[in-house]
Amino acid sequence: MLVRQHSIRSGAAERGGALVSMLLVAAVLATVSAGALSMALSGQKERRGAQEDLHARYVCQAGLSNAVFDVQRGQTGNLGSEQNPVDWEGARFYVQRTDVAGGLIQLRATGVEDRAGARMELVMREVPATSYRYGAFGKEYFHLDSNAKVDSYDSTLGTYATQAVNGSGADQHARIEGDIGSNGPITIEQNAKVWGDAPSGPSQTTTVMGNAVVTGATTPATSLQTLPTLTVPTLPSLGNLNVSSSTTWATGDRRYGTLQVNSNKTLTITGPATIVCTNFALSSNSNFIVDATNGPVTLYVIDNFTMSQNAVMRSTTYDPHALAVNLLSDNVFNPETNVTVDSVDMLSNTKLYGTMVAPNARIVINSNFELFGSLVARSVDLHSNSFLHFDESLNVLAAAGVPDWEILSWRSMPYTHDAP
Amino acid sequence: MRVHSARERRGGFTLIEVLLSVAILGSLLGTVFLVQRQGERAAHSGNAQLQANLKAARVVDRVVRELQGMGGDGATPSQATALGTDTLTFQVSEGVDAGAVDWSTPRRLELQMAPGEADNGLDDDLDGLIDERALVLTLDLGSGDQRSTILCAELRELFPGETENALDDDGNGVADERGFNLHRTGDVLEVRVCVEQPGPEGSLVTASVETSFRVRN
Repeated sequence: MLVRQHSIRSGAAERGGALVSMLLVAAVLATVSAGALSMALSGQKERRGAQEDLHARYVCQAGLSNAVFDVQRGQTGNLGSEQNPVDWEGARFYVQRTDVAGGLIQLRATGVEDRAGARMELVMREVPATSYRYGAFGKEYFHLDSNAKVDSYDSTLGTYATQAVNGSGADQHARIEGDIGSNGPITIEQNAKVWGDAPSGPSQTTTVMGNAVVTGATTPATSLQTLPTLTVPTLPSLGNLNVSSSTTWATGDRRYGTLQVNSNKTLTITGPATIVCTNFALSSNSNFIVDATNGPVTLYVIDNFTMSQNAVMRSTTYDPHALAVNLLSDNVFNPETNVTVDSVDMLSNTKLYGTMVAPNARIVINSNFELFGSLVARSVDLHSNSFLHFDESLNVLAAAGVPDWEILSWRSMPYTHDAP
Repeated sequence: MRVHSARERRGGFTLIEVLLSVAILGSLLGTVFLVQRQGERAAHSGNAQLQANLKAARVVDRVVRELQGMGGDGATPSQATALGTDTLTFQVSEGVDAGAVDWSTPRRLELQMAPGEADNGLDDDLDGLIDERALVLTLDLGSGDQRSTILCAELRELFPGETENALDDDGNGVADERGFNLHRTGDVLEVRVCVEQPGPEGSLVTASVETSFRVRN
């Protein structure tokens, strides 16, 4: 009898066949899964890197803001160091202060998040905390009508015309430090342009309508401005005077009741001189010229102040420092008081080269009027096509008062991670 | 006389068993691959959208980094119009020198036709996109060292929901905004970017990102 014995291996071979198949399937699935997982991890790694980079920038900016606040409080602005940085929610930053020429303060901040980092630099300077730092300031409000414009120039660098080389047509302007300000709201109508800052008063707003342009900041100011107090010198009155023919006055102080320069006439005043009058009027096409070779001229007007069409007030060198016009006129409580700066027709060239301070008056500047210097008033209304050019050289640091701070420059700098 | 044991008769598989096993295995594998393929399609689609979102976010981030430090007199044309602008010439601060800000040479961000594309309503470069734009950053504009970099070559001609009619069709305050658009109010600059790229199986994937930031200078 032949008995065939089946070896154990044949039974094992049957089981091995199924196992191999399943292993093959599992291997294929594992390969696909590994590929998908690899892609997901790669994407996650990239996103994590981007998040760390973003976080580093935020931390760097936070450090810079802390340093600015530090400086504003009278501290150094140095925060931490590269060897001993400040911890900030799991990241780190440090800020280094450097004093540079011109009274400028340079702050460099570095933010680090794991292997990502960011570096930023900010340059700031102290500025007078007075209304003089503005090209124009209206204590109660500031309003620009359509097509009214404000820019800046620097009279120490030359005439306005030589600096007004930026933009073209209606956008032509000189520099962009033509800041306007108010303790109240600021309203900027369509097509108006401010090449500078336009901060409203604390808790107030700056309204920029339609396509009006403000190149600078509109963040509300953090403190109220106090307008200067005018003190009129006491001088004996010489009565009323009509300047009916062009004339030149020698240096000296004078007081009049009504001082009027008739049409097409020129009154030239040799400085230094102080002129006080109750009422002041420049008739059409008349000129009020200041020769400031030996000193400036200051004009005080107590009541009415009028500049008729094509009238011009300036120095022989067109330097705004040479002429200060101080108006005590109060056309709010005394509405009959007339404060008008007129420009009637499209061809008019009414211009004022100087500083105008009118803490009690609402100033309405009519169309096509140009002011080269600065203006401080109870309120300011710039009508269409009027143009204020702030002379930056008038921005003199005040001797007293809590200083304000101006940010001159901000930039992002390259950062490289150094291995520990 | 040969006696066959029971085990000898059961050795190996019958044809029917093999066929049945193959059928079952094939069915299982087919099901697995079917599910895997659907998952793959969904993953591709999701991944394509994710890539488009990431690309748009990167472009916006790069634009913000470039423009955050802009200032001076170089920022033209005015971005403060209802149409915004898709081209901007600007300067950035390079520090302070002798008490004054040192401005860089002019730079330009400009929306141009993508390489190989013409504004003709056709997919000239056969990449699945019609009239796509490219965002180009040019440094040292106008100098002998002028150089241009394409930040993104897959931007839409117009933002989704917008048609070229000088109207604000999508109600976001800007009319006819392009695939790259800048709009300014005061010192706040809004940046809008819309990326469009081919997706799986001939589809188009669109990603729009917008942000706003305060110009620092």
